[in-house]
Amino acid sequence: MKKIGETLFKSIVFTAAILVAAALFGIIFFLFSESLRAMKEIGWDLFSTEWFPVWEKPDFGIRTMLLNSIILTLWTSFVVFSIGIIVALYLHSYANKREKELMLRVLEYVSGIPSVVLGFFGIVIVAPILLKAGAWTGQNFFNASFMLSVLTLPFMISLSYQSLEKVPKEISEAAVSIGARDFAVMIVELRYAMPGIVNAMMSVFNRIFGETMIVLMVAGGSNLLVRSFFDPIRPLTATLGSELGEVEVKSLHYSALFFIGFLLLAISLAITLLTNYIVRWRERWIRG
Amino acid sequence: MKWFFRLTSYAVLILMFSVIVLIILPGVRYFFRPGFFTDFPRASMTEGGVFPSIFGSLILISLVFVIVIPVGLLGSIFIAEFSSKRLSVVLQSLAGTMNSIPSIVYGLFGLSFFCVNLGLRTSLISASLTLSTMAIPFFINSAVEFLRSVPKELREGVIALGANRFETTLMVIRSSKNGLLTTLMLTLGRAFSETAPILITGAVFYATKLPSKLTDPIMTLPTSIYAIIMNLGETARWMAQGMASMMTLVMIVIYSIVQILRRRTNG
Repeated sequence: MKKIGETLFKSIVFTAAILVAAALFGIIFFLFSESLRAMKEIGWDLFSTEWFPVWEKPDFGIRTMLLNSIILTLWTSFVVFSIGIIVALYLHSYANKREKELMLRVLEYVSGIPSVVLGFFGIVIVAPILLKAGAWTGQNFFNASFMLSVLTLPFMISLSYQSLEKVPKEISEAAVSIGARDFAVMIVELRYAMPGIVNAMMSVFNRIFGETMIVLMVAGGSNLLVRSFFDPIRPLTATLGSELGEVEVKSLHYSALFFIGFLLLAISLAITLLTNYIVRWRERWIRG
Repeated sequence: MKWFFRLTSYAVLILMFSVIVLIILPGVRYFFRPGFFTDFPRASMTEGGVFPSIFGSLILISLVFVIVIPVGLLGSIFIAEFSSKRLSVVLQSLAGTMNSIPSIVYGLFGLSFFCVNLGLRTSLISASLTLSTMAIPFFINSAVEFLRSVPKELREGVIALGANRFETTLMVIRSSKNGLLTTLMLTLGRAFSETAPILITGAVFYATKLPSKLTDPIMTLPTSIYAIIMNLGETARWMAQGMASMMTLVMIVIYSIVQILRRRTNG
């Protein structure tokens, strides 16, 4: 009797765990199968420049949106990475206890602000300021990039700070004892904390690339390649967010949108795998 | 060097602080309008209250919890207590991978699987299933760590007293209670603030009545903010402002509880 109960319990928990794996394969399967039609009927033209999904002779080209997404993500990540690491280093090496506590608490609250509220903030507060400063539209590349930085900086700072705190004291002390000054010690610590920081970078990059509400609300929505900071743009996710609500189910347009989703999924999985690989490789390199 | 670092950090701190203040303060005064929390919106969302959105968000989150708590808890128990080392590594990295998938992709999955293929349409149940698909790996990822941190000696002690597998597991759950509550609060915050998947799978801009069955579409706080800002003019903006500061305040409460729990766990 006891044996049966235990087996039953074990099989129940096993099913729950398997559900997770099933969900991942379900996601891949459904996105792929819904986008098959677009891949077959449009083929490589999916990567042309024009996106006019509801015209009489529709065009389903995602190249401009893809490039805009990539440019926006690279630029914003660059800003977030550099500011994030500087602040994390400050917290780790200079800040006193009060500063640390205040900073980490404020950052945690900001990381809780829903992205739709940040989009709202971008429209109501940042856009008018940009207009006053002379941009011809308030919803543009700069606004999107700024709001995305506010969204992701808390993660970047607290994750890199945590991995800096995990660097053993002996490492920094050894560096000091052979005559390293502030800056050189930081470099040593950064190198040691690299796996954690790379991990933080990955989640930030993924988050920016996949964030929908903010770019949908404040990026401007015009399908032109970005040429200046104040151009309105439309990244991939914004198209998904705005068109999925109105699309006819199982139409070619629907399938093309799923192709975009499939592309997002593939890129995010590739980045995750690549990062896991880098982190493992660096860890082996550090620990010898 | 130090001054440059300090300047940057203070600039970031001031920026973040002012974002919070600028979101919360302008909206708070609308809480005191009569009927803000209890009325339906009227006159194309320029008057009345936001009751249906609050109700929708609440019911959506309760449904998500009904799904996520059993599945997430059992799944993390399996990974932490029952599975072989190898399988647990695989399952955990699967959960980690799922955590980094953008939320809009979950929305697409929900649209295709729940709304179209299962025929549930744009409804409360599709939205809650979609959100749950997203929240379960998030829950497992964090819960497993807390279950693992229960010391081995405690486990062996209970087994030595004659407890079976089930009783041992109960003991592990009881002694990692604070950690599991933290996980639960974070999951709550995530489900509460997520917008894009609900927008695709379950939300409507305006409903004249509350959802009465699982297959009715709903209004929620985040999707209403989006809809008002993008579709209506200045006269309706106050309502979005009120909802935005309400959501932010709720999130701050959630994170404060998390901080208290965390301090209690660390002793």
